[in-house]
Amino acid sequence: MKHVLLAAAVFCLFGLLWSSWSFFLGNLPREVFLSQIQWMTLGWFILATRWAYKK
Amino acid sequence: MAAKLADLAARMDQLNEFDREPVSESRLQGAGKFAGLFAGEHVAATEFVIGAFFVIHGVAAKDLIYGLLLGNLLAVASWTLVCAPIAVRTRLTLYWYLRQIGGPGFMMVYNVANAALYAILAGAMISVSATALADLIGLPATPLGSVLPTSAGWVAIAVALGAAFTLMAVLGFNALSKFAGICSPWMFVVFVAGALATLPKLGVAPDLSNLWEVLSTKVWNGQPTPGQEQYGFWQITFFAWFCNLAMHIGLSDMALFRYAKRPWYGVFTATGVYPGHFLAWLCSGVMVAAVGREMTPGRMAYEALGIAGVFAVVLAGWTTANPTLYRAGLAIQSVTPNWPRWKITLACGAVTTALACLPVFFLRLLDYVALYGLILMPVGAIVFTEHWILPRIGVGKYLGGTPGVILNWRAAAVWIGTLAVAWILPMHLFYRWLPCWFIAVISYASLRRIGR
Repeated sequence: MKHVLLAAAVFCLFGLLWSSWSFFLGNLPREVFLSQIQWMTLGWFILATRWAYKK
Repeated sequence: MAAKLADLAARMDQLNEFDREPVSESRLQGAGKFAGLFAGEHVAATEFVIGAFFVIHGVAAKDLIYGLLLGNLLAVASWTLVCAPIAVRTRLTLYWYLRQIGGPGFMMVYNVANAALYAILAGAMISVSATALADLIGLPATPLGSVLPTSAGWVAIAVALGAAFTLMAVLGFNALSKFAGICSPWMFVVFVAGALATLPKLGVAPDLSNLWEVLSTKVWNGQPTPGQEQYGFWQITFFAWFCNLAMHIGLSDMALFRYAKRPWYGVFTATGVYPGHFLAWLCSGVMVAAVGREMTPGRMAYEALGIAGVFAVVLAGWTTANPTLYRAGLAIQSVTPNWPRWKITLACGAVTTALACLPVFFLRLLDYVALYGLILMPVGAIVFTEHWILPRIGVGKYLGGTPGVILNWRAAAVWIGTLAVAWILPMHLFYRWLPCWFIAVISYASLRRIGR
């Protein structure tokens, strides 16, 4: 279970980078980009915190 | 007086009791552990400010890149060739090794100096976080030359953040430090994502064909902001080298490397310094160029990543201030008789919060970082001399370890004397530590040989 949490958290970080790259290429409007960044951030903190504190 | 000092020394020893013995063979850590330990170690709130300052100081793109590559290489070499070998041979923290060399009185002065420097650093971090919230509520940016706060609103934000950070440190360092570790990979990604998202605003084409042209004309264009000194290749090289001076040449990281199986594990610091002191600095430079080169970390991050960017700046300030507050508390625990841990942290937090109200510490962060390393560097030079040079010139080691010796006055004289020389040395602040290190080594070796 811990591995799944970690993998999902890392996926959020990659998602964050991917959104930025898409925005740089002009494929994403700014509002969509910012919204994606916020969701990925939220995802990272929930999953990584669960991972770190899970025994 | 001597009895009082001895009493304080005994209390200080008690605090560090669990570290007194050299690390045993069974507790040594392998290479993989060290590579992981240092990764993400150098991504903090300071990175938002330092990278931006390089742009404000008009560094040219090539000077910056080559300077950072070389400076970080020299820093890694300092960890590998100076700090790690002493740590691996002694298996002790700097605290215990220095106590043997300088005596408990010297150790106490070192601790208080360390606490004061930590408090200023934590104050600067809170100020950085305050810029993010100040910008969000529409307060004007603090002008670059400011020493005192420019508005009551700024003071209110700094005090509120300082109080919140202190409260969290009081409530539980261990639980929160774990959470701080979680923030580190995300913050690194925020730097990269923020820079990427800023590039179109600066005019970089999606195929990156004009990337270098934009970076060298709109970001690091060699033109300092009016009133700021221009930095070149050597300033950047030395800055990257000395920004962790207290840790490598100053030997603070003996606490980590005493667990290393081999001295060459120092090379693993590269996994921390190159992402943090190279990539993150470049990224914050790109972000500041997009906000008209104004030193407002909050606005930089907001323009790049919206609310998530502001969150990153506040969080970066907190994750840096939190352990710094803890270390400051630990350092002065010895001179605060019978105070419980929470009271010491609270007192440190109050001082730190007061310092955070003064924007000068984050607006002069580069100079402060230079001074911080310079002040602690002679201590590292003294330990280096005791460890490597004195045995070769036939002088016995560990003067301060002699029973009844409270203070190794030669070490104290070299520390004060080196700082006095550094004060008057007619060269750029960034370069002074290097000749001063040799001065400290030579003068300490001479004094010890004369007094043999």
